[in-house]
Amino acid sequence: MKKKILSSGLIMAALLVMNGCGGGGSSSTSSTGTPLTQDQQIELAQTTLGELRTQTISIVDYNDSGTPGYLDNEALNLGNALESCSLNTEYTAQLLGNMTSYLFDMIENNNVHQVNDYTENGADWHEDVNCTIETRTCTYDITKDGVSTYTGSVVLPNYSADTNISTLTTLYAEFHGDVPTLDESGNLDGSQVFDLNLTITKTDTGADIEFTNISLAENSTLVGISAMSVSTVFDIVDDSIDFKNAKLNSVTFNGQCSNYTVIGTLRTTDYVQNAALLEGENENWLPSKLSFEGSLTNTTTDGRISGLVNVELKNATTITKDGESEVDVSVNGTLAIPARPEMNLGLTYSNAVATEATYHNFTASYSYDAFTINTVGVMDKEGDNGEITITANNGIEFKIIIVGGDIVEGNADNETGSIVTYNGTLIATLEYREELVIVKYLDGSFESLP
Amino acid sequence: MVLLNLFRSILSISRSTFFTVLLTGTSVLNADVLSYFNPSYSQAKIYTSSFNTVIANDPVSLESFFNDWQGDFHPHSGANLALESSRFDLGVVLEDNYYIGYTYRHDVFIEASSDLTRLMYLTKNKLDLPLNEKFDIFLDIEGLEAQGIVFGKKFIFTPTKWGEWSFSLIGSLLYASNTQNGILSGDAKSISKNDYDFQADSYYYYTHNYLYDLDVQKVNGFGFSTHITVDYKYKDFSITLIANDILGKIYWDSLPYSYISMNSENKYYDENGYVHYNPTIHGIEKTKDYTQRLPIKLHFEGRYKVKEKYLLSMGFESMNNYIFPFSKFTYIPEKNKSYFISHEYRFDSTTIGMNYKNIDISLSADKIIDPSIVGVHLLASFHF
Repeated sequence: MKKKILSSGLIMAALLVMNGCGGGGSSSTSSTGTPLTQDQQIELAQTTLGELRTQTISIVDYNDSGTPGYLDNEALNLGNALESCSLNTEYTAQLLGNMTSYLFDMIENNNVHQVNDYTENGADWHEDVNCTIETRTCTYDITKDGVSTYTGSVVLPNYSADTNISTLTTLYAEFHGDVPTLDESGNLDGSQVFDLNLTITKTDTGADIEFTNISLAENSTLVGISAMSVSTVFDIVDDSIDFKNAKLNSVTFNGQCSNYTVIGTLRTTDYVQNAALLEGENENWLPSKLSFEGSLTNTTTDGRISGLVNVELKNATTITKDGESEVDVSVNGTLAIPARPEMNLGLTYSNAVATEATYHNFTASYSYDAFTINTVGVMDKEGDNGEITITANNGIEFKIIIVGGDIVEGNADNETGSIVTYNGTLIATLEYREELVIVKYLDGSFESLP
Repeated sequence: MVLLNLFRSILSISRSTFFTVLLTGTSVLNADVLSYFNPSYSQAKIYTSSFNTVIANDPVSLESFFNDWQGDFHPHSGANLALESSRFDLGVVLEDNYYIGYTYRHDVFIEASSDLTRLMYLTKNKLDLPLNEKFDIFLDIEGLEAQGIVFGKKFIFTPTKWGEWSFSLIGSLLYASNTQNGILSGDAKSISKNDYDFQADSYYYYTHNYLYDLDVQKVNGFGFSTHITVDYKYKDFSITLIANDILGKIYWDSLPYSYISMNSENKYYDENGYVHYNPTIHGIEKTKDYTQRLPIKLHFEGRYKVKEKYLLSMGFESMNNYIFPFSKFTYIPEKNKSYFISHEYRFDSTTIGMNYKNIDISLSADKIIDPSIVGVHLLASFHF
């Protein structure tokens, strides 16, 4: 059982780490130009493995030894931060929904709404804050317990009183100001600062909705979605909007929570229809290609994860509810871990052209300074059988063969099984010592992987 | 858990060999803890054979020891010992007190820190660890299985008014088939009620690796050992000094050797502030030429005859700087017949035995139920 854990951990390491290695870049010879002796080759391999180990354990808690890795810590700390940073968005979400639907109502039905239509909760709106078409920009003042507490401004769409609204193709509105939060009983409680620009552009089949300059802040917490774009398709039936489908085009994150900042954009670049999976929902439209480009920064430690992630659901048109997804995933980015050099990271994973025996296919490249390590792995569907090859640009290569969840021990005599080579020359084998996998070098020295 | 597996493996070395020894081992004298070469020189032209085996353990009973430490825990306040000392001798005493014979011996001597035994007991019995307590880890093991020929002579000096003296000088040539020789040292710190961090280093020569599963090529060693025995008697007072394995050495060619460093907290920072991780376990496995020095065993006993039929004895045995004191009372109702009872104070064991003509037999134990030490001693000689 432990062996399986170890081999799974090894795969995890290969996927997540992809290491740098000590020693210098490509080095088939010593610094004097002479071929490396076996002792020098082994020393190079030990340095490489040491770096691999350091990178692995730095990033994840590789062997659950109680020594947390960077991602372990960040995931834990981010979770705690998010827990402490949660905002009550009930009121603002209602406000946002009202604004959107009333603008649709204006553009389609020529109905004019006033400011207090944007809110319909228990706030006591001041009587003279109503906006009209003539007074496009107005202020509002919401009282709490008879005291003016929440103030701000609303900008209505730009048209005159004699405009036939239904001829407009674009409506634009803004909201800026303090908004209340509600307690569990629905009564006014705290205060948030909310900003929003909203643009609706009519299309032949519906409308495109753009939310920009979104900001919702409370104390030191800033809601992370700063912009969002959605394309909708709808019909007008008896003066009512009948939505057919909505496609999210992009969401831009720019948030601050405690000591974490997230910046980035999620894009959906392709949609396909899959009736078997969605059963008519959203007219069966399903995103098949996603990308995220951005970063997550710990402002306290300067730790940072940034890059571009692409995910493609290859069988989006045919996948069923009980079916298995076939995906291509790629990651290109950098990982800045405190007390470690910044790492360039490249990962790919695919099971899109898989057979049972070659179900999981992954590559990983990792580099910093002058070092690069590439990993290629193929595992079967259960993850119990396969082969992983880790190649460093200093000539060291680890070939790890896994059968039945266990690493196949290397044989130094015929150079089969899991072995370590330097430019093709055997210098070590992988063996078990009790439950631990070790690298046993030809000079008798050994070290465990984790 | 790796650390504890290693400890358990080392300590369990005695298990597989003990029963083998019961069948084939041997020794002489009615020793309490250790086995010695000390054949009967009562007469010339006799065959003499002896068998002696003792197995003892400080922290838990022998049954618990072989049952994964399940049972009562009664550690020694200082270092804790686990030992097995056995030998079999078969020889002949020729004229002029020359001796030549065959010997088989099997010895294991394990010394462990009190903290280590406590940590093992707590973890093996799944008991809560005290939080943030540091445990000193130390384990020293010496073991040898060998057979060979023994030759010697007993010199009996003419009695003088100062008493009677005899001196035996014995040499043996040994062919060794198994050895264990190593040290494990380090420390552990409990970090929760069921987990601990540790670091330890091990230096280990062996013919079979009990630390972890590793097949190694079988090797044998050759060597020698010398023993002396001194007897002195003055009126009703007599003493015996036995010193075994003086200058004892076994020479091993290409003996498997492992240096192992284990560490659960393996993070450190270099001079630039970069974090690095050492492997959980690393070291070297190779073969080395090795000279094993055999520890000297001492037995000293002083006797005083009270009236004609009673002997009072006091003395000690010693090995590796440990002293095993004892006292003994012997009743001699008639010639060629005697009974004795003795008590050894280190393991708190009691021995009862008897001599009838050319046969000696005695049994040792600290208690009848669930003992921590058990010994069997047999000696027989026959004329030819």
